[in-house]
Amino acid sequence: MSRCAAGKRAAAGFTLLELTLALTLVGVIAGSIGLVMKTCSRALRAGASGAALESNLRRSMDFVCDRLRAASTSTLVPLTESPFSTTQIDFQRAVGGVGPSVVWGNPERILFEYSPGETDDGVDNDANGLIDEGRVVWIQNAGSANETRATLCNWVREYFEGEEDTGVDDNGNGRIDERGFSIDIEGNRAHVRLSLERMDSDGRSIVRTLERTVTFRNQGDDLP
Amino acid sequence: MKLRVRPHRPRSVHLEAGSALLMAVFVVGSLMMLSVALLATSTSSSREQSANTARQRAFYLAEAGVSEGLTALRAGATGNIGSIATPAYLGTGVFWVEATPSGNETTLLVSAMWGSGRAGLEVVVGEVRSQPFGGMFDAYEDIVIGDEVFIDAFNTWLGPYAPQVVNTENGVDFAHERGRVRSNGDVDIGADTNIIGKARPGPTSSITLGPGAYVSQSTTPLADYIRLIPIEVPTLVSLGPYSVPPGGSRSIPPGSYGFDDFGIGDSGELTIVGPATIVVASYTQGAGGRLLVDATAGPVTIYCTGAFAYDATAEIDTLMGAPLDLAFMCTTTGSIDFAPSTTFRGGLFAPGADLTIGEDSEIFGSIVASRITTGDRARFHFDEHLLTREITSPEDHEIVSWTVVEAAGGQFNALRQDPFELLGLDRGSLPRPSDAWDL
Amino acid sequence: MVELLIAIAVLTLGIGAVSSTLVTSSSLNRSSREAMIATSAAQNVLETLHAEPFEDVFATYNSSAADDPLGAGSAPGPAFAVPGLDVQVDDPDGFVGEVIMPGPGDLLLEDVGDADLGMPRDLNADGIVDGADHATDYTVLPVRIRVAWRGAAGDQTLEFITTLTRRR
Repeated sequence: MSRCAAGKRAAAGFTLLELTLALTLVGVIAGSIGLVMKTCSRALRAGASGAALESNLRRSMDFVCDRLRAASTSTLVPLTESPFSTTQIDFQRAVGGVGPSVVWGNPERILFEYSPGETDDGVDNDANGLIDEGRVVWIQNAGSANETRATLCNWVREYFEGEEDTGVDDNGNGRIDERGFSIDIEGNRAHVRLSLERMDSDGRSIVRTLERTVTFRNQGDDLP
Repeated sequence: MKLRVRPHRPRSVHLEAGSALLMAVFVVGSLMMLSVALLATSTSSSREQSANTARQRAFYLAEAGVSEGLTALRAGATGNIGSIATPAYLGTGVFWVEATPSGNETTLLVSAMWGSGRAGLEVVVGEVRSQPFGGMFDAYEDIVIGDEVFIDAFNTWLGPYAPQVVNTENGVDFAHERGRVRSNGDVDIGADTNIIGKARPGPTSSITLGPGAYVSQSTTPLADYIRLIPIEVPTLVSLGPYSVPPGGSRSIPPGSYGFDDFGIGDSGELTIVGPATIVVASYTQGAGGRLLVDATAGPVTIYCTGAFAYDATAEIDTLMGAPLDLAFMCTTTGSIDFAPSTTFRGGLFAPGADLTIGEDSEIFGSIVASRITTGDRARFHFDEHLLTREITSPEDHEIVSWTVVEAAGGQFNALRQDPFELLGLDRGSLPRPSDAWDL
Repeated sequence: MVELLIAIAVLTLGIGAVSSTLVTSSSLNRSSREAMIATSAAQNVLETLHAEPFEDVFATYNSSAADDPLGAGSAPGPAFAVPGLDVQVDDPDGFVGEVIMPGPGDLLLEDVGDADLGMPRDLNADGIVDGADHATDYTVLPVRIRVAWRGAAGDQTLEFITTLTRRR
């Protein structure tokens, strides 16, 4: 027999068993790779969304609390006392002292606004998977010629996590129908609440919530 | 000659050689890139959180610096605490305070560092300027207000009370809305009583409103206790007893005077021209006795170190065109009683006394006592002109204003290293805050 | 065949490394979130301390219920829970958070050795450091807020330290 013929015999195809085994192996490996890639990709997106939301939440809350801390109850409008809360607050921070008096800075406002394209109608107007969501906005010199605005965060839930528009304290925190961004005053401190929500690429809701207490460090001209 | 024939390999084997490993390396490479991105996101988030925590820890260290500076000022020190070269050590971080005096105020610039966190605060501290008369009633213990009582405010600088009554609330006419009632204890308000202003109990006390009672402003507990303002009685040599005989009249010109027992007899009339400071061992104003005050040139203050007696038919009045700037500062710890239907004008500061005001009385001024009890149907009108009265305590200090500023670390603020490394500090040799005063 | 085996081995190693990264990343995210919750909780307690009348702070947050300003048992005491954080296994009181002031809990002492709290120090402005209880006459109050939890990366502790005094 020639060697050429022997080589041809050696190269002649695979058995069915070999083929099945190989295809199964390839399928399993390919499937695993695909699963891992999908999981990794989903984890990246979810992790990035969650982390971004948390970072946004923390920075916005720090900003609001830092601003309010330097204010005084005498500069607050409205002075909404617990258990009721407000989604808008006007105030002035102390920027120094002259003699025995506080020098108050420009009027500031922090408020909840519905996101562009959204209205308070119980419908997801902008088709982003969220209903009546909004943003927290900071305004200096509201209504004047030198008014300046900045959005502190988007994705603000209409109502605080665990709370609905029912007229009762759904989440058992002693407040009634508090909104996704809300402030209530108790004595010389403010309770600030912020809930952010967004949908990830798989359509699942990610919610991050923070509650903070801040004590006003200044006392206004109005005696207690 | 031997013919060597190489084995014939099928084409497909040649084409497949090495591609599986290449694919595997490509796939693993892609996965690695994804996972590195994921790890980077998580690490970045973790780093941001750590930086935020460090910043907050530095902030509360700066607050500790404010407390330390304030404590030092109250102890008679300058308010300087350590320095950037030798800061105070607290809570595994450091802070220092630079104090800058200016008149009656001191500005404290506080800088703190913890890890990568930096914080700065600027606090203006002033000598305590207390307003002894801030509202209608201030009590260091409880206040009990009878039924159908009315409390509002007016300003004697604008003239008599009646022409100032131009407002209406809850169906009652009133002048100004500053009829404030404050207590370190409980506040008990009787039925159908109207208070046009605030009524606030102590931080751990409560307020009770009778049926039909109305308070136009806040009723929430005070955040801080009302602090006792000590009465510093001027040291004046006594000229002996002083009295206006029944039916007679006398006059005291501007100046400072000390007397023993001081009295205005029945139907007697005394005129005091301000500015005048009078120290008496006891004060008595008999039936129909009149005290006329001329505060055009300055206020009149009467310090009473003993008993205070004021008859129900006695009168206090201002001369035409002048505000009634009259204050009684009483150090008695006994009781002061106003009989029913008494009319009294002026500020009465008696922080140690139990004060009772009879029914159907009318007070124009301000009352400060240990405990205050009023009868039914009494009317009270806080005189806002008394807000101009101030007592200054140079030994005590309070925060006037509080603001966030950049820490005074200069170039070190931008560098986020641990402060001990950054400033070349030996943790073990740094002073405690209380040891860093005026260092 | 050898090539295939090597390829499989490389893939396995790679997938293993990626899985490990996923776990690490998830753990980091969780730790980060826990730290945010702990920091927030500590801040809330500190702000509440600032809001209390200064004279009442020690009585409100010490371990004795007898001196509570609003009546025995009415004050929160030194321990506090933090929703979202788990207690450490060996935690003595079952609470994640704690307010710590100089002394054994129901007494306020000047002669406690705690460098991080600036102790020992004069707490009642009488110029001396003694061993008496200054629960009712302190003029300055060092405070430590400790949050200790069992987290994704093991047992964690976070501490905030400040000093309080009467502001007005």
